[in-house]
Amino acid sequence: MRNIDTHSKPGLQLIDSDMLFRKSMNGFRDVTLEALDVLKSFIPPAQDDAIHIDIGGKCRELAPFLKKDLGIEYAAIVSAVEQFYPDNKIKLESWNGQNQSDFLASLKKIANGRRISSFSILDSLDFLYLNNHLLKIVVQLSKEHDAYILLGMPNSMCFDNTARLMLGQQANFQNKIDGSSAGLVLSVDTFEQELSTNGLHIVDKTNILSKKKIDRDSTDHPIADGNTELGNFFRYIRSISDNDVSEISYFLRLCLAGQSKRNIKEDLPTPASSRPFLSVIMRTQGKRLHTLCEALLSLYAQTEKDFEILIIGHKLDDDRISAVSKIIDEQTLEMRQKTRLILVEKGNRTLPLNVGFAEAKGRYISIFDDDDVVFANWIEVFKDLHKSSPGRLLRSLCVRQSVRNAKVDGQLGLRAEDSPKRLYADDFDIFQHLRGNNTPNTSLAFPRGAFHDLGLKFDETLTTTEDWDFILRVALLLGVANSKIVTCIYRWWENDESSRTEHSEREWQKNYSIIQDKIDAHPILLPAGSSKRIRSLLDDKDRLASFEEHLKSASFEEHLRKVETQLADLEHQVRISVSLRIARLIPRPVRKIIRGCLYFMWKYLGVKALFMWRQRRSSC
Amino acid sequence: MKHKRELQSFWRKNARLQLQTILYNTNFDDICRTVEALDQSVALAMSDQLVVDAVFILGDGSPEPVLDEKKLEKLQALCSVIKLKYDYFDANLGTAAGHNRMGFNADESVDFIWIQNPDVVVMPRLFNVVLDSFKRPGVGQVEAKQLPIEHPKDYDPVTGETEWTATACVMTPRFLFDKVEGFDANSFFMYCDDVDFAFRIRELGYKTIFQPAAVCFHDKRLDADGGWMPTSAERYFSAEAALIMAHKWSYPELCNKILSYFLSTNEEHLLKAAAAFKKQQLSGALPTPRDPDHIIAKFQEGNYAKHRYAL
Repeated sequence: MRNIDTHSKPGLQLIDSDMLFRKSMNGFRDVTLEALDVLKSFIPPAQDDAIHIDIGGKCRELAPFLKKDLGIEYAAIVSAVEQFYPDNKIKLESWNGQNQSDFLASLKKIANGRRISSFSILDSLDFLYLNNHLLKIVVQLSKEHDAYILLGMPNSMCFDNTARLMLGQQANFQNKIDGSSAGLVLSVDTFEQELSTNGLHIVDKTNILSKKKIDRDSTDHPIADGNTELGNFFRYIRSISDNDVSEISYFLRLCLAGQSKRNIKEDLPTPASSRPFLSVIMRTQGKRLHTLCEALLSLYAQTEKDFEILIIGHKLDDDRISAVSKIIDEQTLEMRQKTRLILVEKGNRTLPLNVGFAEAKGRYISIFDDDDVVFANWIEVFKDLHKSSPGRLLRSLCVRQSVRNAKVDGQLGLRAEDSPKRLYADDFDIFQHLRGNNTPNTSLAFPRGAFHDLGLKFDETLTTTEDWDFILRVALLLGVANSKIVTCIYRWWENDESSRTEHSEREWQKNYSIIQDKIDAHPILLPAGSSKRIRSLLDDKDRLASFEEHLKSASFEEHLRKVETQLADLEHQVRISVSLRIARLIPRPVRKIIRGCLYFMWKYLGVKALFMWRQRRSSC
Repeated sequence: MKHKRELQSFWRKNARLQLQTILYNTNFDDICRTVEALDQSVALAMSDQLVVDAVFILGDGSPEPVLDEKKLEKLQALCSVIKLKYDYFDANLGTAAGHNRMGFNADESVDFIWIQNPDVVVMPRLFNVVLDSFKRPGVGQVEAKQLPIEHPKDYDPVTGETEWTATACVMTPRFLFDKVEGFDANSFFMYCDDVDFAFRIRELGYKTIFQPAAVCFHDKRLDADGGWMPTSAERYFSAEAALIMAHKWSYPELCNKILSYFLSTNEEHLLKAAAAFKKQQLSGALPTPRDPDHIIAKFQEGNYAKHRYAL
């Protein structure tokens, strides 16, 4: 794909959202020029009588250039309702109505037996989109003539428009070529999907960049103005996606006609209700087949069955592919139906996650590495969290247990070495997570929208801590719903290879710094109550500073006295604690007698006597 | 020495299995899953000619039958290789008497008895792995590892030898089941009947093996602190069994210590367990103590074997 920055082309005129295509030939340096460049780079000069047909007649300025550079005649077909621009150099065919045979007849009349080298449909897609059968005719003719089809569409989803729409304000949906109001507002993804559905295979993508900087005098809009925090934040949200088109003003797609890629029905987004609740992404290198078996067994035992499993085989050789496939084949029918094996042959440990997330069909997506294990309520707890807090990052509790391999009778198994330990915080604290990760992957379920709608992806440049980076970015945007139920065990390898041992300390530190820098590069969104938390942290800092100051100024004797007093208090507390413990060791009948004696002292000798006895004891 | 001469390998090709479990108000969906997993595992063992036949006895100690004919048919439809039999006890016999009832009634041709809890699901290649360990002469029992919480009792990481095995998922040769006359149902209702059973197998000179490569999932949970969450039945019956185990395996001082402790607390289940023990003591119903030199039963730190970690 080519992104054409019109700023960088010497002698080219800038294009922005307010600028119309229709300029004098002297100013002809924009969409049409790019369209011409695209056509010239694919279509060889004609040796025969060839014609280019412009559906909608939006690139009439191409005519002399097509003739001169490629030896191709230009003709246009426009609707009768459109304004007619007489031009003796261009043959314009007016077509009235939506009748299929009229349309075909008009095209054939224009061609007049000549070879059609190409079509262009710029800004007229809405007309064809609404009359799908007419587009089919163009596709059919393109097939017959091996003709290219150049399609163009203004970007309705540019930054300015989406910023205004977010605030419920009118956006500026204009056709870039003639300034008329756009009848159909399509995202570029939908646009390309439509092409594919209609049998148009893209051979070239050209995006024309708009003016990068907003003219301060032309807008006072608080978001569209890139200098505000809100504007920066919104720009960051738009920039997350790999396919960020906020700075693009116009899309050009050159296509060849072929078979429809997919059925239209398949292109419709799957409704949430027909998706599995959870997609489980299980990375495996095929090195620990015994733990993979355990992981799959713990999934089979889930009380909540609404899930799918995507085993992402990373860099597996043939032997490992067949070993992993065999394990899947040996599962029960229910498990086999839920499981897909996807092979990833390149990349570091992050790429399989992006591949898995992209393939996931579930409403939520969890990472479950092949050496961990989950409790039977793992998915059930996520589902409960979803019911109470839909759309958030879901988090349950995880314990850590040390393991090592054990081989009994030649069979490799896993051996737990210590008690499951609670090392991770009960609640998700975004402030703590800004400093480091406190949540193992397996205890999380990511809403699919984080990846599929917002475009948040795992950073493939990171070789470690890619999970922390992703968790942080998702949590900051979506918030977290937390459960205090233990649902999984993170296995800690005592004497075997793991990501912990595979990478050097320096590498871990480097990745840590990269993540910190990324977070600091744009504004972040903190949950409600964060200002109170920040105040409290600052208060603590002040108190600490004041105590430090006090320590410096106070005399040594004074400190010693304080310490002595504290020690005496502590000793007293210990004495009571020890007394109580000793009391517990005294048999119950003896304890009863002592209690009776004390009661007697209190009743008959008075409280004062009891007090004096205690005082005498403590003075000793 | 006599025992050592008699030691044999119980492994044989095309073995016949009896699988057994005891239902107690068990959820039907859970039973389906258990049956489906067992069937898959037996099918894989059959494809490797390790097993030729398997029957799964579903004992039921519930107040009302958990299965009717229709449900049984549905369960049988899930099976491609194993045959199901339903045995409604019409009484809560506990695990010891319940498993004895099914084990003693096993068909003559049965080579191995697999005992498991009803809420256990087995891995696909379970029987391949478990049966393989019987190739070694002298192996008297093979226990599978439980997930997600592995039992902390120690075992040799090379030989798999361990002090006792849990009947949550264990395979015993039919010969040994008969030889030790099954579980001691007179002394144990549930809990520790398996420890006692394993000790008596070891008394014959056979080894009890923990096989970490054979895996079962037993639906147990941890509390928020990562600690074990025993059920009320677990608390009572394991307390009751602790007294009997100490008595039966010749730890009189420990038995008295436990009894004193139980009596000194205010916890109802412990007081109840102490009372039940005293009643047996007075009526002379307690089993005769054995293993006076503690060759078999080595109680350590309140456990029936050395533990790798606390749970």
